[in-house]
Amino acid sequence: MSTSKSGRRSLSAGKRLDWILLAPGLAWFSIFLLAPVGFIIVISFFGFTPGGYIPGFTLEHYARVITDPSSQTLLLFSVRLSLTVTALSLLIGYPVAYFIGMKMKGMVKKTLFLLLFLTPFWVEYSTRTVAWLPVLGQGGILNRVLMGVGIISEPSALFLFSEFSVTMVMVLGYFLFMIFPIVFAMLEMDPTLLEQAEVLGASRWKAFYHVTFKVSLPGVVVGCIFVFVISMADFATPRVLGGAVMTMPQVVVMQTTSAANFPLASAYATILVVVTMVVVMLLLRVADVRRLIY
Amino acid sequence: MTEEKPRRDFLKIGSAAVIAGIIAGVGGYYAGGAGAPAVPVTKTVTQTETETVTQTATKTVVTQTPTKTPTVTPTVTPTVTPEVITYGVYPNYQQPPPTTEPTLIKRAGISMGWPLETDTMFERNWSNYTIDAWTVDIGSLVGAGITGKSYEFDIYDDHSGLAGLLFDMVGGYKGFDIKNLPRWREENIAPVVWDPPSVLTQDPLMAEKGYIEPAWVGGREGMHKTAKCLWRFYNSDSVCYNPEFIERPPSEVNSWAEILNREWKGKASIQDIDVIVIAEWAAYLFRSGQIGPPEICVNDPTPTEINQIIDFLIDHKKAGQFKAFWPDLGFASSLHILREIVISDAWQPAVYFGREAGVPHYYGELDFSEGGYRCWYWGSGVTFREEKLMPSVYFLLDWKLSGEHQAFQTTLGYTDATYTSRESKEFCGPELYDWSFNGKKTYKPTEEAVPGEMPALIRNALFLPETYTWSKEKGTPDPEGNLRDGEDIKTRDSKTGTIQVFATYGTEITEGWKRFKAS
Repeated sequence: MSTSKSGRRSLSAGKRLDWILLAPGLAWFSIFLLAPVGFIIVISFFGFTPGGYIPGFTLEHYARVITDPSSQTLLLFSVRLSLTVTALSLLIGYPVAYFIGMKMKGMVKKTLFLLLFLTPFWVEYSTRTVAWLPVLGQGGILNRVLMGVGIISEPSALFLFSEFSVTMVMVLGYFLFMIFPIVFAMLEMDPTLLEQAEVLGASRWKAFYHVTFKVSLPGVVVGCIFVFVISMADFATPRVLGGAVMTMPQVVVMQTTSAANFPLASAYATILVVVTMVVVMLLLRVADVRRLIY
Repeated sequence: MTEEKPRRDFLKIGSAAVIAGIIAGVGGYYAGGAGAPAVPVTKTVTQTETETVTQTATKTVVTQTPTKTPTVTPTVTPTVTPEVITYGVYPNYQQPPPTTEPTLIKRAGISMGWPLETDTMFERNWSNYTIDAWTVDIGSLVGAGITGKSYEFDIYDDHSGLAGLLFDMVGGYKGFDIKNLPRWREENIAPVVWDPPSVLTQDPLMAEKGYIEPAWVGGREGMHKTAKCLWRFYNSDSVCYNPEFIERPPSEVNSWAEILNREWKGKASIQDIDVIVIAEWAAYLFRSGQIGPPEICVNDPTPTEINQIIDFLIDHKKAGQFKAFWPDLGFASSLHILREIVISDAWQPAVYFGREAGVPHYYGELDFSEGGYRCWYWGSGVTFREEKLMPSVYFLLDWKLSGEHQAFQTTLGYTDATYTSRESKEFCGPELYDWSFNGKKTYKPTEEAVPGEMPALIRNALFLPETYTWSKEKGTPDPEGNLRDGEDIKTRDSKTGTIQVFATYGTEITEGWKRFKAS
């Protein structure tokens, strides 16, 4: 690194340019994400009046949420569901990402294949969700196929309005967010590393674990964060396909629309955000995701 | 060097991101413009009005007498007295529009389905008007009231379950003078709307809280003076069931408890809307004597009563009674059409959606002692966006009380506030009117409307009022004609078990529902 005066000038000019380039994005992020979240947190400490709030400071809403057994059940269920979706997305997504990142030759082929996974997202989300009804229902395609091949003798009620249907639809909807970061991480890998490992006597599995998997680990972490966060916030899939399944986002919406209790809804939302961030922070300790950027 | 490379890479990525963001933003701007509501088309409309004017002239006739100085003072003072036309009654139902200039009215509420069809009907009648419908849900209406943005639209869809919240709690909305609506006269308005407790004698307090307080500023004192929410139509919600599985006529499905019949275990559904579910089951439990009497009113359970209702429902949920919980009308209809469920609570026109898909459905005819019908009324509120637009806004609201509007609503199963008016009877025609309101059969046998080999129970459950050709001439009901399920209007009114209101203990209802879903 140069330590001359012209070097120091180019560094500070470079830093200024960095901030200039960052400024629009930071401003947008601050105004339209940080500020509203801040308002929600502030309102969660206000007093309740139907259809509004009384500015002040009270912990009664948090106390209500934390001490209520059904809130605890719902929160734990929401976390469990999201972790299950994340794990299954990883299980399905990693082999696909490995195939695209390591086995496919040529960036054009890789890009086209990745675009193929994007096509379901050209259909609007709630339409995609509702479209599962005739597929998973008792008279649906899945039941008919299973009955046709003799796996079941009569239609099963398991596939719709159950935790199974919610999990399955979420996994199919979100595993794409697992594949992309893992593929990008694998593309960063020096392909000669695997050869070198084998030359040095490592078995194929050892070479995979110590080289490929560890290089892809930041991508795995980022993918898990994406899938977990989106699953925690998913309101529509449990509502439409879950039957008796209920998650925390539904409670937030209900408190807003049915009871017009904004402070309590804000308290639910804040707790949801905090729990999500705790899990994200734990995931970030698994690998250094900055390696994906630099 | 080691620091320069990441910085260069970062700058490259950052520049690319900013450029991509600009392109996306510009593209999104134009895409949003393409999808935006159409700009009102400027149309030149020439409308001629004819008025009958009676002229009377008074003349003073001077008789000339032969004098040296004749004085003649003719005085002619013609006075024109225009005939006063009273609109809203026979034969002058419809007043002319207040303007022929292109006029845009913004409506906030539901922007698809039948509300959009009625907007189109109005625009067809008076082509200088355009109604710009915005989809605005309850949360947004509340937010608009709080932030003062309610003045971005002229009228909004309102109902008995919401008016109390928007007016009394949120603020930002104000009442409007009912005398600006020519059709709002006692001879036009149904007695249950004009004075609800006098008709709903089975529970006058329920009528007071459900039908008067949400509609009028000042409640009973403000009746027919200042409206919070113009009462346009009301309905009686009931149980919806498939007679392929529940082989009984509507008169034998007379209780909300039929949803809890273990014969339909795993094939029943209730709504995923807490305030409505509590209202239905509160009515059932109070009216059947299993809990109560209510501390406030059947419409408005207290926290203790809410917990009793939730505990009751939890027992049935744990027994596996409910297959699913439906959040909206389309979803409920899908569940019935796919035959995932055989019985549920339902809104109008869920039964007709099922019939359109070829799946037979009925509404149950509920007894008052088994909960009775869950009623609600739907209407419009006014926000006074622009003073100069108000005559047109009132003109639109008055048209929503017309016979034309009623006739359309009737085919969907709704009952307008003006269903007793002569205008409604003329527009509906005798057959549709008697079928909808007076419990009479159709003039043609059901087999003509629903051909094919099938039992009468199924055939009648496939009859669609929208596709039947209704006679405009008085005729005779056919013994094999279709009888509307849901009984005649007077009987339905007498069996009103509860009226949807904005509950005092909404938070407790939501918390209770959360406990129910988590159980």
